This record gives sequence, structure tokens and C-alpha cells, in this order.
Amino acid sequence: MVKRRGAISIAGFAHPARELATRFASLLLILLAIMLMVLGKASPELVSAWRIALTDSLSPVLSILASPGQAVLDVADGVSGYFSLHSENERLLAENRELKTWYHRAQDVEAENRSLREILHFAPPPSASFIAAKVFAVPGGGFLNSALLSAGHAQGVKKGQAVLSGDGLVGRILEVGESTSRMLLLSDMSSRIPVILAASRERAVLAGNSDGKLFLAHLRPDIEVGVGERVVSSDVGGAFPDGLPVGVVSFVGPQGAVVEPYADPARLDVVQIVDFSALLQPEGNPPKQETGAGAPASP
Amino acid sequence: MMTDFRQRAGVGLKSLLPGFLLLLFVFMGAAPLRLPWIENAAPPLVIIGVYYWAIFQPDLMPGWGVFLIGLLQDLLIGLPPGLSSAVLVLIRWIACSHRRFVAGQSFLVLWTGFVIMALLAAVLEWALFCLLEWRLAALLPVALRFLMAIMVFPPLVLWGLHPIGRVLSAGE
Repeated sequence: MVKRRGAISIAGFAHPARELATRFASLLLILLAIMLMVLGKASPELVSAWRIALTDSLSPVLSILASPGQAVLDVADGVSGYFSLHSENERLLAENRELKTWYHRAQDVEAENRSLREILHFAPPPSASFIAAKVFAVPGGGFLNSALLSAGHAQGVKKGQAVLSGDGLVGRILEVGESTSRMLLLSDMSSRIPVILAASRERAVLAGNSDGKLFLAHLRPDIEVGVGERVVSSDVGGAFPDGLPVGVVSFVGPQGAVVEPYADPARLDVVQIVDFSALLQPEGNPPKQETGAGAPASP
Repeated sequence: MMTDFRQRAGVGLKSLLPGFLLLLFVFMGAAPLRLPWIENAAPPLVIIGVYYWAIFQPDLMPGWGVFLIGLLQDLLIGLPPGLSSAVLVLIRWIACSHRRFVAGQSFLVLWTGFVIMALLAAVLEWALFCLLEWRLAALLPVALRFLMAIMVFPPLVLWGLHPIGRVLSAGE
């Protein structure tokens, strides 16, 4: 393992004068870097524009390099899946039984809902449309929890839109370029999402912290949160549509309630960006009532 | 005449290799790993590359090149621009000025030098980030990245960078 001396010839050692020049150049460059950091702090919009221009132009390279990561994951999944086939099958059978029960419940509720709506002449709100995007870069820095997505202005992505994986909400759009955009994950320290506790209909704010955990903030102190309670998005503030699945309360301690998200941010591959502009009317007006209602609302 | 041109073109292409590798490392660092536990701890290959070339071929990897690589990394992964540039230029500078102690010594010395540099880089990155964002960032991902860096260093250098370095020095 150990390389003996002389294994590689070393380029000639610098003269003192050259070393002085290197030192001067390095100092100059570090000074320039510090100036850049200050500039970035002073005008974040400029940095944002640079960043998005760069990622837009590099998106072909990034999408190629993202593929091997997915391939490795697929192989790992295949291997681990092979060993857990039996238990997986058992679990799925049990889940299927449970889901069938829920399916019948849902059909009953839907029928009831439809008849109630007919009585009320309720117009179902227009459903949201979705933009599919591939995740092709995540920061390795460990400081920020954001990801690059392969859709931008051209596909109709706008700042602030919600991003969903197959399991639930994963984050929101932070910066938008022509063909790429950057998403801030729920677990980022600066992420704040209005949510509702599904059972009690209590409002709260879902916040990320430095450990990448999600916790409920701004919850009324007299509210008791139970482990296992579902958390969904809320349209307070007009940023998100109501009712997107977010996660379940996994732990309640003296510091507050911790939420386990449905979506695993480590395994994001293809995500859906929710274009809910149809859902939210301009100036925040509620959808107008129309006659001839009664069609079942789209899910 | 033709062979002379070819030779020169070959040398020219070879001299671009360290920079090209660093570019590749930046992209690899940004690509999603999608592995549990280490989702946020992709090994900082760029630091390995900068340290290695600063010791063995500093002329092929000038300070401004390192600066630009750092800037690219910052913009790509969403760090404040200039942060990685400052850290990488400093690493290159320190490694360059200590190369006579490290180069030509055993691999263990080279590795120990890198452990110190990687630790310095991790602490500096973390401190600069906290200062710029004015908040306390998590330490665990930083520690994980540092551990990944020192673990990836031996295989990357012995099987990747040393063979490439031999090709480069053969052309001189």
C-alpha cells in the first residue's frame, strides 16, 4: 500500500521569488473570494441569477451524471428486495386487506358527498395540474437542503410552488430558471410551511431544524398532539393548496412535536411540481359558485 | 514537424487533465447519491484533487483555476459564492508551501497532511457558512463529509491520481 519515495517525479520546487508570487496571488484570490461573499450577501438576487443561469446551461451534463446514482440505487434496491420478498408479500397482503376496507368506506363517503353537494349547488374547485421533473443535483455541502430539478419557466414552474414525490410533500420551489429550478426541502432550516393537523384541524407551521428534523411550531399551547396524527398542508398565506399529505407526528416531547415526512428526501428521483394557480383565485377570492354542479371533484 | 505538433498537442491535452478531473469532481459532488445516511455527505472529492495537484503538479493547477472551480461548486450546490473558492485557494496555498515536506515521503505522510487539510477545510467551511448565514449550521454532516474525505483519499490517490500523475510526469 505504501508508496516509496520517487514513485512520482515531482515538478521542480519553486524558487523563493516564485513562492513569494504564489503567496501574493493566493492572498489576492482569497481577498477576491471574500469580496464575492460580501457581494452575495449584499445582493442575493444577483447571485440567484448567476446560479440559475449556470445550472440552466449545465443541465445536460448534470442530468447525465445523475443517472449512475439512480442505477446504483436500483441495484441496491433489487438486492435488498430479493431477500425481503416473503415479508414484503405478507405486508402487502395485509395492507391490501386494509385498503379494500378503506376503498369501500371512500366509495360510501363519495356518494354521500355527491348527494350533499347537489343539495348545496356546490361547484368543485378546479383541480391542480402537475409538472413532472427529475431531481438531478443535490448539495453535498450538508449545510443546505435543496435540490435541482429539471423543469423551469418553459414548463410553467413558478417560485413558491409545492413539490410532491409519490408519497407526499417534499418542498417548495426557491429559484426558477429557463429549464431548471431549485427546490428547498422541508428539512432545511429556513423552511417554514403552513400545515393543519388532519384530526383536530389545528393550524401550525412545519419548520426544519439544523438536524434535518421537522417539527411543529406556532401551535396553540393548549393543543395536545398525538403520535400518529396526520399532518397536511394548509392554504394559509396562499402559498400552498390545502390538504397535500406531509407526514405523521412521530414523537412528542418537551421541545414540541416531531413530524416524520411521508417522502424520503434521500430517494427523490422524479417529483411533481403542483401548479395550483387554478385553485387559488386572484386576490384570494374563493371560487365562484356555479350552477350545474354535482360532478365528483377530481382527486 | 507533424510528430512535433502531435507531441505538443499531447502535452497540452495532458496539462488540462488536472483541471478536467476537478471539474468532474465538482459535478460528482453535486449529483444525487440517494443513499440512506450519507445523502448529505458526498465525499468532497474536490479537496482531494486540489491537495494532490498542489503537491505534485502545482503548475498544472494555478490558483485562479482553483478559484473558478470553487466558485462553480458554490453556485452549483447552493453555497454562498466565494466560500469554496476561499477554502480551496487556501488549501492549495498551504499544500504548495509544504510540498517539499510531503512530496517524496511515504504515502502515510501524504495522507496525514491531507487529514489536517481536510479538517481545516471542514472547520473553515462551517465557520464561514455560519458567519454568512448568521445561524448555527449542523455539525454532523460536516463531520461525516470529513470522514468520507479521509476514507476516500487512499483509494482515489493510489488507484486514480497516482497513475494519472505518472502519465503526466512522463510527458515532461
